[in-house]
Amino acid sequence: MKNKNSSIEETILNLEKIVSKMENGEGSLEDNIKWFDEGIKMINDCRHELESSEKRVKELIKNNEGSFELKNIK
Amino acid sequence: MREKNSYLTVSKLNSSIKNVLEGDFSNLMVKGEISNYHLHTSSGHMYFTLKDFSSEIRCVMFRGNSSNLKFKPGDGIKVLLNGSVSIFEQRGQIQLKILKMSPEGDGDLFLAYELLKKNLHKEGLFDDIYKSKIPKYPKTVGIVTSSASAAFQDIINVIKRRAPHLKVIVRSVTVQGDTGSKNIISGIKDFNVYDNVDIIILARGGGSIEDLWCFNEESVARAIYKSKIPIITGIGHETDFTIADLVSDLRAPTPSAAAELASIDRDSIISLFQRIKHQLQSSVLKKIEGNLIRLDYLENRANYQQPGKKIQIQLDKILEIKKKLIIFTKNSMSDKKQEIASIYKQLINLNPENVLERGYSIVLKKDGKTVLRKPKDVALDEIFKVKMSNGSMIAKKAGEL
Repeated sequence: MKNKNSSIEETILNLEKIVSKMENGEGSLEDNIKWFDEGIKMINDCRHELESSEKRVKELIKNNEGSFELKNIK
Repeated sequence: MREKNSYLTVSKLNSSIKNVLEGDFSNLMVKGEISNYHLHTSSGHMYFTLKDFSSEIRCVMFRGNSSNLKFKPGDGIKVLLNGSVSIFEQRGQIQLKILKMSPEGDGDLFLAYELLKKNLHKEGLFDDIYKSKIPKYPKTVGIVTSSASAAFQDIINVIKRRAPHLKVIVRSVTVQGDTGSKNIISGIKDFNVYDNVDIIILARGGGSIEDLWCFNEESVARAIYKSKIPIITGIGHETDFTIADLVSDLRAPTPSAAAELASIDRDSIISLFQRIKHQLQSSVLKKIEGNLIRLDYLENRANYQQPGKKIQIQLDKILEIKKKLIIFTKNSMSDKKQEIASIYKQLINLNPENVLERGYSIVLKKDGKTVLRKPKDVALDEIFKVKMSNGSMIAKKAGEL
């Protein structure tokens, strides 16, 4: 796989890291606010991606030279 | 015999055929292999096709006769049966009406299946240690099946309903007949070369044992085993267990079920995010509470040195957090909102002297400008300043605890 973690998986992993840091009382208040902002931004970005995109189904076509292309199908 | 303009109705024709055939083809012994076996659940009648290498004939065994069977018929089983030809007049169809039936050894396909299963099992191809983990949050799902099939449509419907954010790529191949296994293998290989899907669903709708046979071929089993991308199989119905199912990383009873296993429900991701959001919110709240005293110090210090300015910066920050929290908690967390408001009020009302009066002290560098937060901030024997409620003093570090 080119990208081992999907963006959702990565987001969740990063969020879990942030939450555990904060729950363990790490960092200053400023750090916590920064982490909080980062976390909320990650969630919002990911939610946006989850909710805004209706992905189309594509077909994988193999060309004669062995290269691949994606074609839209209905 | 045939006069000009004379004709037969279809009904008459079928009934004449019936009269001729049914007399001459009765009480026969016939040998063949069962295929397309179907037990009609409510009537209890059995329907199937009896075939050999080149021909087939429809068969029916009514419940009155089939209830005495000593074995369980099924696809691929070779049988010897006794019955008569009958014509289903309404459709003009020839069928064998069976009175008795016995197995003639197990069918060849069945034997081949059992043998391959045994060998691959011995070789370890079905072992759990070789099964890859199915990614929980895939981004792209690859499907190997015919894009014209109902199975494909079922998969797409499930994914669109549960996880419309998922990208779906189909490698459309015919998954039955002579080229079936070759097609399946190249579909799996292509996805592995293309290397841009997180999961492969290998699927086919229900069919006869012959239709599903390519999923029982050794070459297909080895291609599944070799795939670097996890494969979920959804082949036929719940009762169909193919070799491909045994070697795949995860077996689903049907194509739709395979689609469910490959796609986490979008709503559950969203509620997970909701939970994390609450955790973040309450952590920040806790931090704010825990930091009140420290802010107190800062405020005190700021007041002491640069009246007004730094406090304002701190307070502005808190105000900013408060605003953000209120936006995020707008609807669901009205009690939290109260909590934030009260914390904010506490901050505003903070009297710099109160903290010191409570018995706390502020430890500063000798210059009186920098607050010391940890023992390492001051060297051994270094002189520093301690501010208390009723005055200040100079101290010297004698060691660390």
